[in-house]
Amino acid sequence: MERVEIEGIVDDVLRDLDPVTLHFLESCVSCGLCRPYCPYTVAGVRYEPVNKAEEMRKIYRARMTVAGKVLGGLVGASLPEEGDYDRLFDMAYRCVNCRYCYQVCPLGIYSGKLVIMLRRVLDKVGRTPTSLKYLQGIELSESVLSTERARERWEEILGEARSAVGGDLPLDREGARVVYLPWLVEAVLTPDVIVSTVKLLDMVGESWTMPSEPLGFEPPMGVIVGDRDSERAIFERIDSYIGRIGGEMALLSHGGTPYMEMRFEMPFVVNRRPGYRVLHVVEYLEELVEGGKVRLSRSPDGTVTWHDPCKLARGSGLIEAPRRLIRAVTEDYRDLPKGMGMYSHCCGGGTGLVFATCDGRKLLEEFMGEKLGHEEWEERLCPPLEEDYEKAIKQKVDEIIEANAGVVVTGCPTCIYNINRGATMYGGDFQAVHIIQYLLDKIEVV
Amino acid sequence: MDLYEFAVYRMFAPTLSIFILGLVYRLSRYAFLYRRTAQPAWRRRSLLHRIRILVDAFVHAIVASIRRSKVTFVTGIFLLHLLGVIPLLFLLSHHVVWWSYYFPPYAILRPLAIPTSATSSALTVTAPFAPITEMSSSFVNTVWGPLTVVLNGDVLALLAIIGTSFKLLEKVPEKVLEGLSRIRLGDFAALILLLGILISGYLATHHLPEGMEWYRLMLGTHVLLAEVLVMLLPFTKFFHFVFGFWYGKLHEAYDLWRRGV
Ligand code: SF4
Ligand code: SF4
Repeated sequence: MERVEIEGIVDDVLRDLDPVTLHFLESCVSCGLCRPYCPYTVAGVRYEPVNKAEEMRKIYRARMTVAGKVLGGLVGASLPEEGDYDRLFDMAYRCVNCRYCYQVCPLGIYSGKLVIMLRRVLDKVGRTPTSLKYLQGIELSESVLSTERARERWEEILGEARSAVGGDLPLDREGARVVYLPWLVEAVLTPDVIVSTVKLLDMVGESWTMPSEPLGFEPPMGVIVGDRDSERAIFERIDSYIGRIGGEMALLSHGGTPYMEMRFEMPFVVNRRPGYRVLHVVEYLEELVEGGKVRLSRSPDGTVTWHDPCKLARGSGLIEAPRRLIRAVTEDYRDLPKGMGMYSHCCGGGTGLVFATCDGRKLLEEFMGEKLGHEEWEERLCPPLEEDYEKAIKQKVDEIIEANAGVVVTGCPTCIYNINRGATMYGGDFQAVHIIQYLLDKIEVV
Repeated sequence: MDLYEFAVYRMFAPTLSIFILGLVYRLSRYAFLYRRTAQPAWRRRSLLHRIRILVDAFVHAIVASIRRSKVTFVTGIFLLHLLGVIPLLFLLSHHVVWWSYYFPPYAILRPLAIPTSATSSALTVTAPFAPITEMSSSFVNTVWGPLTVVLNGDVLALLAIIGTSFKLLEKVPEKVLEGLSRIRLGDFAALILLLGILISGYLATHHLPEGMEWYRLMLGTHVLLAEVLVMLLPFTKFFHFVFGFWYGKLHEAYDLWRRGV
């Protein structure tokens, strides 16, 4: 690639620079305090947050600082060349945007945000894993159910939901108060959660609806692969769907990227505040309990713990609410030993990493009934990524084993998948479940 | 004109001008990038919660370092910042006089001034006569009392030198063995400059080596290196001291308020 092309790509990536990102780019003092908190440092110290972010800083300095333009490498400024792409990929895909580095940095720097910027550069030079590119593609296409097999699987889930409520589902019903938004990733990883959420909405007599097919895979995939335009496009689509229904509330059972992005980032991206509330089922349930519409009954389940999904806790402030709900039904609740809430340790596999690994990819191919191709560089770089991902999830498994909990309740399908996969791999005697699954049979409608 | 005169009389105005220009340049970059956008609905939290989050934003890095980076806490945060740079720079009696000279209201901090050595405040008890002027009295008769055994320029400077040297040496294996690209020449240069300021200040205070020329040379070096730091401040990692730290922490608190963390 010509230097001028790379310069154009970098300028495009830096086009949206705002004061906060400028601070992230310019203020690091290289103290290394973020190092022990990143779930990927275990894969090698070069994957500490600041060293990953440095790759983006080098690019930034080369294009946007006087010293970088004049002194180049002497001040750590350089534009990427073909030979750098492998290293940049390794750096950009050893981050799950868990925000822990941000939480502990003495200067309030969110290295994960710079890692995502690096993914944007890589996306433009063709270094996004094929699986993620595929998912971004189907998310932007007419229908996310782009294959016959996916359509069948989705129909199966709807069928189960119909049986659970004993009747038809109010799909795409205009005028509903609550718009439940299940995403295709949930159909792949945790289909039961969709069924349980539908059952809850039906049980409490809610005025609700859901789209007849998911509005996205794990929106916005644009954030995950680093494509700002597709991020905007998918938000616009979701926003206009809810607008068409006229709903007062968008309800999500996915407490990872989609919830945090819709709740806190969408207004910036589409530059308007939505006229509806965005709630995770945890908040919805708590409102039901507080409003006296439902009661929670106690039942002994052994030792139960709550795993804070990064984007739900650090990213969205839902820390106490799930604990209150779980404590209301069990006496044997305990927090995880490494830290909770703002200081919780990440499961290690969010922000697209699951589907960049070989196993996740197979799962996806199976669900979609379609073989995904490979680029030559992926053959080389994906196996080590898989190994590092496994090291990252092992830390979570070890923490749960230390807590001696039999049930790990959480609120995000990716966390559930990673924790259960880790339990199988490393011999953990526990099971991760979604909070809605855990509580459903303990809910009494008043 | 010797180095002392050059540093004190010739370089002061250029230093200040470069600092101010640099500051304006850096801050204007932030200002120009600002765009008004729609805001998400804030999560409701009590005022007390918000105050706690604000305080927490400023202290949780310290807690985080104590938990998992004890070496960084001891060297970088405690020795270098909390004991070294901050009290030395703002409260060492010589520096209080210096700050008050250019900014008279600073003299209000005079009662908190830290003596140069453990013995300087003992003079109030041991000296056979009372200090002649009010000024010398306020610097010798310190409020820190017996704490001056440790809270004095000598001890703080030594601790700061140890902390800075450690941070400097620590970078060598990080660069050479761990191959971290984030360790840059500038990191070494910044710490060497800081070390130069600390050592020259220590030597000047103790009139080492002996002789008036040496004293003027050491003090001149100390002042000149400090001026170099001030000039470089807006363009280097030292900027965190006047802006990056405050902006970063206030933004973080604001972000956490919004999210209701
Ligand atoms: S903790 Fe913050 S300032 Fe320190 S190295 Fe990490 S990003 Fe840089
Ligand atoms: S966001 Fe999380 S995974 Fe990414 S660099 Fe920061 S701590 Fe590591």
